Amino acid sequence: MKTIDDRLEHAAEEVRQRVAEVPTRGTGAAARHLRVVRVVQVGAVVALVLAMIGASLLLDPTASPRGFVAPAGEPDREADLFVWFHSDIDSVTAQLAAADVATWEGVEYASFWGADQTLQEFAELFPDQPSLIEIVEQDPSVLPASIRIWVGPNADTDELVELARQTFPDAVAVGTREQRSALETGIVTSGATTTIAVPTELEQAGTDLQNAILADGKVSRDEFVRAVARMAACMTDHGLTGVTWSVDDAGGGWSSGYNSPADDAAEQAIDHLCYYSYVDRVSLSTQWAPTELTAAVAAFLPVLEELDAQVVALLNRANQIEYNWENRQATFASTTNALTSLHADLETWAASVVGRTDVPSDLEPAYAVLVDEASDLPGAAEAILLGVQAPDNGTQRRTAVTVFVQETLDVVYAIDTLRRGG
Amino acid sequence: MAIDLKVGAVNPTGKGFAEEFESFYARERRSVLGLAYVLSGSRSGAEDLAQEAFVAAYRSWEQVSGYDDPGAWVRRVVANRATSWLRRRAAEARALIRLGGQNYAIPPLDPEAGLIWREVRRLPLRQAQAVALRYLDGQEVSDIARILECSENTVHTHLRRGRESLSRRLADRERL
Repeated sequence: MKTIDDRLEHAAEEVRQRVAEVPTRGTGAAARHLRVVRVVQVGAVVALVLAMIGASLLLDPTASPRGFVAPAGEPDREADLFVWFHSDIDSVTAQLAAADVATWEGVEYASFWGADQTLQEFAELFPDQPSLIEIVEQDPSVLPASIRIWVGPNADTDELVELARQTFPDAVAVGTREQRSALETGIVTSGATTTIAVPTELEQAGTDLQNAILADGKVSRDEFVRAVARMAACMTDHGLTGVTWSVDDAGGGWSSGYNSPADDAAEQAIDHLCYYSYVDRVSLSTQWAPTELTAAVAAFLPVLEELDAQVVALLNRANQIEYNWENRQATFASTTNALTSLHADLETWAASVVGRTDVPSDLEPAYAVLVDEASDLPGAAEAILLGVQAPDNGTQRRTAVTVFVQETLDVVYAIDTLRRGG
Repeated sequence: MAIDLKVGAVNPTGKGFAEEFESFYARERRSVLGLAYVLSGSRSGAEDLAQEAFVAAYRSWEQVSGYDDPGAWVRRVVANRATSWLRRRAAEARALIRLGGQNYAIPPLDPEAGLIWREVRRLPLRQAQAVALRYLDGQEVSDIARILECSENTVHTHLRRGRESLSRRLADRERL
């Protein structure tokens, strides 16, 4: 019989082999490769919100997910009441419980929805999001299990809710159809097996702190240290014990530690809450603001932030057009129209970069580099359009997209150089 | 238009060794990616987690390259970031946006390996980190202690408890 060491060694070797199969991205040099992440990092908070909205949409009660085969006798409409459980609830026990609920006065029908059905519902709601489905398939525990109850026409819903709460004291939540989205989103975002109350909203004080830090477009090391300290205090306030933290000289190397309150899901939910409340936006992708900038250069930083955001938005637009075309989610006409529009907007944007008259003299040499890089972008977008129109297998377009991404990253580099004072 | 990849090539502190970032990245990328994967459990998001750590190193390379072991620093960043549930989701969301239709996800593991790493992730945080660093990354106890910023005795304890829990859980599963 294999020892645990043997099994771990095998599992490790398996990971090494699979990792070796991951292709290196085609953008070439490591720095370019990394810059892709840097660019996307700008949208990290937006992406997080998207992720949370995704969870909410997944559970949107206004959608009609009943395209698949429901259990015999189940009404063909959305359930009226929901009792949510930890995703690891024993399905046999839950099905028996649902059968019991179905006998309650005023209940028309009740059924248990475990991971498989919930996942199927998810897939029905998001047929065009295979990547999202893959995520949930990898970890179905993010979807709560539930007993769904259909109430008869003259039943007292409030009474049934109360009865469900009394009958299932271990349930994560009990609610009506109208409460479903909010409740389930809360369950999903705070961890389905949480037994410690964890707020599902980011703390306003943290949002305010990060906004204040970012107001001048830069983050000093002291400000970052303050944010991490507040994150640690947040963790303590919410029940984690033995919280420690440190920030090393390089800034990105912050760390925090704590003892588990005997509930890993709660621990991670608190960790998430405090990290995103106080630290995320001022962390990692943010450069420490140089202290030697002249006042004129410092005053120009907001302009650079705006240019950075604009070019990243244009890059994201190009990525979306490419994604839609590659995945056959857009027609030829709509794609060429979108690329034509992108090309026009890039020309306008590049012209605005060229035409700025408020560039501090200290930055003029570095700004000339930005102008040069920005001037390349419209042509790079036009090349994508020509690639779409080319009578080939898509190679010309894909190559043009890669070049466009690289050109965009060069622009972001140029902006970064300016941020450092040229 | 050329990009200077030799940031940090000159080590102003004189500590450790100066190293060009690119060679550091080429040498460490796969093992850090593997670490991000086993600790996050996300095939599509692991690369972003690893890249976040490398981005952090890249941006601060002047300091990081002066550390005795820049690889340990990157692993600490990954270990801290990979194990938070919603951070994983955020990384996945970023991956979805960035990857578009391209497939950079790590291919699936065989069932045995997949089961073992799932059970590793169910261990308490520090135990999971210690087990992954020891077995996947081949780190010595002293190195793990430095990465996790704890004593060697603590690492020994995490490893012992982690192995015991894994053995027990895997045996329980196989009895069923």
